[in-house]
Amino acid sequence: MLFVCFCSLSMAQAPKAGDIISGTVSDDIEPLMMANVIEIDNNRRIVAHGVTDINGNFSFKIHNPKDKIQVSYIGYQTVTLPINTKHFNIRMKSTTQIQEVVVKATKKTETAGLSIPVTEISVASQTIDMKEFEGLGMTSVDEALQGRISGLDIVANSGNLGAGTTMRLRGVSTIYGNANPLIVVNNNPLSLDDYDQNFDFTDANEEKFAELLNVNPEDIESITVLKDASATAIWGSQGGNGVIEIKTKRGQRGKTRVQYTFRLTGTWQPEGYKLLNGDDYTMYLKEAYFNPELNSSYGSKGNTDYIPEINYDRDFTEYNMFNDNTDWMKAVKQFGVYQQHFVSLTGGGEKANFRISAGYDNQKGSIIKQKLDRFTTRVALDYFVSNRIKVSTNFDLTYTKNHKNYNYNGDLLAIAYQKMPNLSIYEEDANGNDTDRFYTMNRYVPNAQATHLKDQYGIVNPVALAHYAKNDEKSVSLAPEFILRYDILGTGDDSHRLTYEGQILFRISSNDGETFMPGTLLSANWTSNDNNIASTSAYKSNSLSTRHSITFDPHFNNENHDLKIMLRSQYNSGNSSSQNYSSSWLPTSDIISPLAGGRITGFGTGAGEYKSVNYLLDVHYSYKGKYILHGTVRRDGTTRFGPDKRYGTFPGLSARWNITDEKFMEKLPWISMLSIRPSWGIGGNPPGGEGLYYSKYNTSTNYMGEGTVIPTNIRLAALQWEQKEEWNLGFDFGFFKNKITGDLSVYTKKTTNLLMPSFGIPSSSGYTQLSNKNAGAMRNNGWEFNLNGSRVIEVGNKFYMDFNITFANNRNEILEMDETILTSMNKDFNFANGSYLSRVQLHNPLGSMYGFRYKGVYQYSDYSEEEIVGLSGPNAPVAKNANDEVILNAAGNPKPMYFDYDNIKYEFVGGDAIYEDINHDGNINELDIVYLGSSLPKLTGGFGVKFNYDRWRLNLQFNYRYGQNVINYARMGLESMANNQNQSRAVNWRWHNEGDNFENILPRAATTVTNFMTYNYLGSDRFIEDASYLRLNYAQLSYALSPRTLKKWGLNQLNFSLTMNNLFCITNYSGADPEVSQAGFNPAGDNSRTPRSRSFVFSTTISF
Amino acid sequence: MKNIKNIIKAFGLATFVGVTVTSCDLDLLPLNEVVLENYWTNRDDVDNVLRSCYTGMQSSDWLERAIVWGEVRSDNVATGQTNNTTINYINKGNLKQTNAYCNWSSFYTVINRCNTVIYYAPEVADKDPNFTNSDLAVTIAEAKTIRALNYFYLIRAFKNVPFSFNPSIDDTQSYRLPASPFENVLDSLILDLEGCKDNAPRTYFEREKNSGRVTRAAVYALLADLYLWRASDANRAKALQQDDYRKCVEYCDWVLNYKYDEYMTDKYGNLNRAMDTYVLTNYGYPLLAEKSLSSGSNNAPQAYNAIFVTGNSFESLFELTFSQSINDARNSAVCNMYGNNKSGQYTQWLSANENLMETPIGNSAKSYSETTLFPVTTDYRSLTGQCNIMGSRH
Repeated sequence: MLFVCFCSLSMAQAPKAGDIISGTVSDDIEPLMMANVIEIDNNRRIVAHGVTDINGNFSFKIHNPKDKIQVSYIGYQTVTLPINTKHFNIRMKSTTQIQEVVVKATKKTETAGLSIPVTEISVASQTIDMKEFEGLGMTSVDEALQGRISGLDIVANSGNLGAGTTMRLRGVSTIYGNANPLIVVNNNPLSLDDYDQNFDFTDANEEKFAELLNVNPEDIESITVLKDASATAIWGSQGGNGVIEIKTKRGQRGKTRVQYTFRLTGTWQPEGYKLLNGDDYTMYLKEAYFNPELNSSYGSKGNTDYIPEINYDRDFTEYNMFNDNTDWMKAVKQFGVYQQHFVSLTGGGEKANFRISAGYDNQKGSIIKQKLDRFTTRVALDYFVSNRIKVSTNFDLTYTKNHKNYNYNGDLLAIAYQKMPNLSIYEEDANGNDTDRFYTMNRYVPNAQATHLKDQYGIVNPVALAHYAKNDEKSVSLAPEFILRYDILGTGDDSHRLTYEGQILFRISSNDGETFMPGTLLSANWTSNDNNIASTSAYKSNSLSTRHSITFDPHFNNENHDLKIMLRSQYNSGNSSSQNYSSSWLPTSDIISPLAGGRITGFGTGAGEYKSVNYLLDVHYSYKGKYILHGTVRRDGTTRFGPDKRYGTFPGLSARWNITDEKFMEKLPWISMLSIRPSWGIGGNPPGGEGLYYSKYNTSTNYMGEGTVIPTNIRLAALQWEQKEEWNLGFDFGFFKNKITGDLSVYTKKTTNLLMPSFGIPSSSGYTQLSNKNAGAMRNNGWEFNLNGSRVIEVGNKFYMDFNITFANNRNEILEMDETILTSMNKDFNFANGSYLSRVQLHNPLGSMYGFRYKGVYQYSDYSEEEIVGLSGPNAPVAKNANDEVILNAAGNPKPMYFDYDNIKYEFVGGDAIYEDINHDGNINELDIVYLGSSLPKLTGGFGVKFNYDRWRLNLQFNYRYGQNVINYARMGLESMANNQNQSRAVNWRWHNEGDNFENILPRAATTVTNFMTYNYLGSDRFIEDASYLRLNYAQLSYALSPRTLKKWGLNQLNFSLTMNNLFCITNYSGADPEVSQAGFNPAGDNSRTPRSRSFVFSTTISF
Repeated sequence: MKNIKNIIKAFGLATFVGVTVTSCDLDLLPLNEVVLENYWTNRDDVDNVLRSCYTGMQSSDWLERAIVWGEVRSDNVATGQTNNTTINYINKGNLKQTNAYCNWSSFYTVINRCNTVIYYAPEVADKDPNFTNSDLAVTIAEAKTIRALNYFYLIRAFKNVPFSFNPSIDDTQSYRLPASPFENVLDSLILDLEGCKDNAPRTYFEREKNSGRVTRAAVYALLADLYLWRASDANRAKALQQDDYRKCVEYCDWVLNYKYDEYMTDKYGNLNRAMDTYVLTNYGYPLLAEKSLSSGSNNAPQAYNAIFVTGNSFESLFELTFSQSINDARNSAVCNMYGNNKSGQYTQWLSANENLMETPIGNSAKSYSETTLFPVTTDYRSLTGQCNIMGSRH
């Protein structure tokens, strides 16, 4: 600031650009100090400024003589003058005397709806500022949200690269519909509309949520989760499962700042189940083949059933390849390295703000031969045409190249779990040394037992598959966006405000895939259909959406009233096209393109279109900031439904009473915030896929050489949205000047018109089913509690601690269900191994488990009251009555225990599993099935603490789940001992001989490959486990250099951090990962054999 | 002043925006599929769906059930070389609701297609000038006959069945129909066919179509069968029974006379002249010759070849025609039931009952004789699987 004060001699000279003008500002009495003098241009932008000194003098250089000069001072009327002289003498007139100046700063939310102060939010939502996650080494947003948002349950999908997570907000309130919450980035929803019908949905769902990965966490400014129906009502039919709104950073006025972040992550797959090695495996398999019928032909040379692969037969030509101890799991795993570089440039001035960011990721997966490259860039530009008009443009670009593993009857890990461990990875020479060629089992070798070992011969060598098979995917997506904002009436708080905002967004994306698998990996001859298969697929989509909104904020003379009204309409349309082509029998495995000469096995094209339109009215009224009423009405129309059901209305109403603003609360100063928020709303959920409504006609076989056309389905004119009506009561509270804040919500959500696919109808209609129908209703009740403490413990000014904790609980119940669906779900028990009876009953929660009770293993086959070692004993399969006495039959002999006496009539022998005979009839059948547990957790949530000492920070975040039972199907597969797959090491402790009895004994090995059935792994509580857990999600230690040190080096910010993810998990669950979610009607089942990967991340951020 | 100007600007903008957005049309027809909304516009549409009624009857599900509900229930057939447990259960009288042959959906599929044609064809007559009213009458008659035939099979197998002449178009309809009694269904069918019997064409130019498509002779024959069934209802009043019997005779006579006239006039010159001269001269009626008219070692009866091998013979009133065209259906049902499949392997779930044979199989063969009524082992009509019934043709 320059205090140059000089008198100008000539007053009549008009100034030129670059001249210095000067003057004095005073009121009636005296000169005014610190008055603001600014030069404004035609668009009312501030171009230059100065401040008056103690004598009321000012001077500064002007840019343009055509501009005006404006002087302002608190308590005086602002004066605006043209610049027609070099010296000014300005007199200020005072405004009406004001008692005091109240400066009120209210934090306003920037949600998709109205911009309202945080203390006036009357809906259930939770916002997290990304500053919480600054420097955190997480690769995607969903990892960090786990346990932080009460009611949001996040389950990782698989260990594969690019796979995302499954999210559930407030439980699952739909059965067959889409249960994922809507993700909104900068007010633009990412909806499933963008995906083609023919797209592979199981993978796409993972990858759609992996789109959160496309939003680089460095770009995110805040995340808001909208939980209840009145909050999601602004998203109408798409927001039925909750909404996650993500706002990305924009430019800021100020000097240009450059920030560079480097992040290095190392991941590895911890060991899951311990499997048998080659020697234990062959011994187990030999027993498994011998036991069922005590048939030794599987081990007798010369017999057709002889299995040389497990008998270490030197005469077998492949002997050297079958006598190894291979750890397949270790062979397919590797240490994964992930490096991320991110650069961002932010800056701004009077006319514009900008933020340009670019990131490059390179990821080597924790499974061999997985590689991912990603390049993202984001440009955000705001240009202030005047102080009323703002034009913004955003541009996102993401390019991903993913080398995935080829999935042939399972991914690499699944194959590695099953493959026989006595098999060698490489071909071996006569002395048993590895060559560099991969070994493929050959069923045409003399004596090879390809009949009994059929499943093993059908699995390929996973290491060879990783090296020679190709599965590549490239995808590009662009999203340019233009926004115009016009404040039609004034911009100040003291005038009516009418704002118009118009937006148009294009989304263009394309996805290409190529796969190839050489026939040399198969143990089949060249006429097999899978020999040298290749395929390509291409998918393109583009969409246009435009949104117009008008917000009216009238100014009331009585400042206690505050009203905001918004009217918005949005129109989306899009189309997509796809084509795919696959062929097999390519001439050699060197040519990998499916277009080279081969046999065409499939080709197809698809095209799709969709349109939707919606209107929204959003009204917010508050009186004194204490009593708030908020209402929204949204009307949605989409092409998915027929003309009668095309439009749906989704209202929402909420209110809030800030109790702490009342007079009587002043007596309790330790309560700094208490408010109550009742709300109600109706949301919806659409079915997946377009064109369901139509009745389609397809060509069919000819009759006498002439064509025919048949109607293929019934038109779904009555199909409509699933409707969710929700009542929510929330409390916000804060203690000790908001040191501790939190909220509590209680809700009940009723879903009606549940969407059911493949709804059976009587075949007398000419069809067997409707593709979709609304049938059934369910209810979800629950509560959520969320507590945050900021600087709860402060020692000196160097150490402080923050904490956060969440609890949530959700219960569901089926209220109504169509009878045909209930009958089709409540099938009879199928008496098969491994299946649990499924029962869906009205007014009961989903996912209940029913099965047998498992009591151990029969020690002996023959019964005797006293134990005769090695021959007989009391623990034998005989029927016992309620008093535990043996039931005798007419001849005086003990009645044996049978399985399904009416039909299968299998008599249990020693070594078989003991199932509790509930009705004491000597027969294990469906009458012995009991209720075993529920899949719904009693409590879910997370907690974390943050310690801060000087420039160091330690951040620990846990999440937990309590009270959930899970069926461990993975362990069932690894302990079933009924097929040729590798088993867990626990089977070494199985029953071998009569009289065996030790702790944790497993039933005897008995294969079912030879069609002799045993029933040792029926659905029972042997495999139902309590999956309560406490997991340390991440522990982060970071250090930020002090600004003083940094200034010496010309830096603005430099910090380092080290994070460990998934450090430990405290649980009694014996499976790979206790985080299992329940889906649809089925109980929670764990099929995954691979635990969640662990990683450590080192990251550093520098900014200039 | 400025404020008002601004407000006017604002509302002008709002209405402009509102109008452009609300005027968008949310009716999107699928890009790659034909749907009801743009179908039923010209005669080809009608013909295609009408022909699908025939192909619906050519599906192996339909044919198998027609054989099982018919032949297997009689004592004409016994178990063949391969065991079909489902059929065996029926033979033994052990019928559970889970038995596959209790599923009637293939018949209702055909009935629904017929109902659809009958419902939409009048619309097309209005739209397409090439689809004249007489064409419409012919189409309706064909569809009604096929529908009646299907319902006839159903009531003879299940007695009381759900009965509807309405097509299944929308999911707003209720599809839970009660079973209608046998008599009511039969009455409705007879009434239905009486109304349209004279609309069916008498002959077609193409020889195959004379039996491959519904002709007037076929409708009359079906009516005769329906009347016979109604007449044999013991609970029916005697007078009505007599009426029905008379009607049956009347229609049978019509068919016989018609066929005689057809042979005599031989309008299109495409009748096979291989008639049995013995029967023609002695009984005055044209029937296909039993034995070969050409000399040589091949003593395959002419009638058998004409009826079952070449197909669409003079004696055939209505038969499902399987042609050699690449897109036509294959007759796998008859293959599986009576013969061998494409690879020459025997399936043959059924074979002729031994009691039909004059001499037991295995004994020395008797030669074919005109005077014996029952076939001998060398008679090709004994269906013992010695003939090569290939699935591609019949």
